Amino acid sequence: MNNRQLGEYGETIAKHYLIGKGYKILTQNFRCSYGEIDIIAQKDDNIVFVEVKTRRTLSYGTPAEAVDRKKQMRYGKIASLYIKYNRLFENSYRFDIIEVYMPSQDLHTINHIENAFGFTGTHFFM
Amino acid sequence: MLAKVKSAGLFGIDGYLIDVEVDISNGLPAFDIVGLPDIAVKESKERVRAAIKNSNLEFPIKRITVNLAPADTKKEGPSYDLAIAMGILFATQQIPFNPKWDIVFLGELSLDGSLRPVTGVLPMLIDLSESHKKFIIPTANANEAHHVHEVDVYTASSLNEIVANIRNGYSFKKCIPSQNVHSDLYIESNDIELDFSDIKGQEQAKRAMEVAAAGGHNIALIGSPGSGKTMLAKRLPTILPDLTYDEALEVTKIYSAAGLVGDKGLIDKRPFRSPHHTASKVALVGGGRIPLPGEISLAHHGVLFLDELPEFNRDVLEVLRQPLEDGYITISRAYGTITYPASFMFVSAFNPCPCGFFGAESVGGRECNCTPAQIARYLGRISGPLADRIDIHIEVPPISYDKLKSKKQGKSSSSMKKRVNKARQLQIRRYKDDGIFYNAQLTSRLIAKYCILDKNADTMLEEAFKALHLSARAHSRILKVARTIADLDSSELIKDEHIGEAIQYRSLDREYWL
Repeated sequence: MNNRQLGEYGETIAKHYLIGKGYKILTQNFRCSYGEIDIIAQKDDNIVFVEVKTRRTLSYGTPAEAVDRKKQMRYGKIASLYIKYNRLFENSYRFDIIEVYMPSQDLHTINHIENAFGFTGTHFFM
Repeated sequence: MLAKVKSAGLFGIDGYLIDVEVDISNGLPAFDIVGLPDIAVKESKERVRAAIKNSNLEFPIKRITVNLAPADTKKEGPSYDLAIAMGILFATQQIPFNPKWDIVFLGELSLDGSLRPVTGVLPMLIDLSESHKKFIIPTANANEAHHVHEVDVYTASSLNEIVANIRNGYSFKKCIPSQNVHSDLYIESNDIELDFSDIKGQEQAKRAMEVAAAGGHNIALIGSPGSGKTMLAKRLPTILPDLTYDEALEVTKIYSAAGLVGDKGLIDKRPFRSPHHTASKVALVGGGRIPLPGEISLAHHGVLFLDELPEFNRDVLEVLRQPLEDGYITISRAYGTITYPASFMFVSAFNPCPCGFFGAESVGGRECNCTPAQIARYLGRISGPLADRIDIHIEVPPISYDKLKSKKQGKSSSSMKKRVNKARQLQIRRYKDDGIFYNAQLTSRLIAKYCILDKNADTMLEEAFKALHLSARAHSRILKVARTIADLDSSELIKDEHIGEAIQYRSLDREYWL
């Protein structure tokens, strides 16, 4: 399994995990000129933007550490666009990270970080 | 979802009201603080977030905007943490808001939700007491806050406690001081009670200290090393008149703004500050990016003691001139212009020459080996205008072996203080319509009004003036000091013995090259 396949596999795992948790999946792999968000889900009033990080080994740090400030800002922009396209202004929003740790083919653990990051300042549409 | 909570800020030693407005709206999760916050205020985001979370309350995943009004003054320090946290809790309706309870919240939050003490509680309470009556402060500030009687002060030790009390129908705990603590600020490092009876001999110097304390005169002690100058100066606070309640509040306000009160409560003793001679200008008069009070303000209503006066940098000494005259210091920085009170008794001690033994030989001391030029240069570091502001110069000669061994107890502090207090009372009554409190503050107009000499005294002063070539400024100093000596004698008229003693206290005019 190459890295790309691994990533896609991780996203599938995460999707099923979220459905099991009672989330409704709105979109997968939402793409725009700023980049991509893996999963956009909804639970109650909350729109949740999920970044899935899958790793075979932790020797390069935990997956969530790979989401630095620059990437966070990018997710913010993408999320703004999604909200605008779909006119979801009345909801509240959240950014989650789901870490999928997969040391071997048939073994995985999931770590769901809710509200992983927020923003400051007026960089975005509202 | 908007909430308004009150808090207070500090500008110099003046507290002012700050409205903390918290708006929570939908949007990408964000937390912003506006209203010219400095770094410590901006960082309160992290403290507030963690404190709310760790108090088992909910931190909203919303767009949070906090405004600190008035928006045009710079806010500094962590004392708004509590108000911001309360604003968030009110805005998210986790606790019921009751507009009848117009509470001012003060306190820094720790990550676990407990409240940490903040600086400046006393000035904030005093200055807001007119308009606001209810305050919630950290328990650690209770000792200092319970001195403000016009307001209801409630204490809390954690965010959880406040939330529980509010949910309980706004039932708070009244502020109770933890114990009746007394400050020991006036003797900086020493717990042992000092007393003038510790000093053998030096009766003349002790008498001069008594006069200085009674009239609030600035005094210079001149003498060879080891003769007891520092000992004398350290014991001066023991004979200073007691602080009045208003004065104590004023002193505590300054210490509170500087964050030096700790758990001491009210500072009820006159401060005694003795900065080292390496002190800088800013250390002495105050300053910094956000101007803090310096040594002269910390010595307000007390004593500023500069040991080894000529060793101080000349420009450091020169900055003392204006506050010595005005009784306050105005510090201007980009942050703002702040005025701190600085009305202190200036006490200095120094050697008469670089080797220290000039004039000591005649009373059994070592021989001085300084050239006149060296002495002139040494004493020349004390500029004329500064020396001009010193009313009393007293020589402290080396002490003889007999006196040192004598079992006879000298004058004790308590008896001296009794006389000082009596003389001060006299002055306060006499000057109640003139806006001054003690003799050192007399202006030339008031000298003419109150320093009335009898005939013998007048003749004596005239003779001394001619024989000793006294200057006009020395003349007015002598009159002021003579006024105090007469007050110690409970005499309204200044007699010849009072003038005679006052003339003795001008040794710098007579003997040295100042």
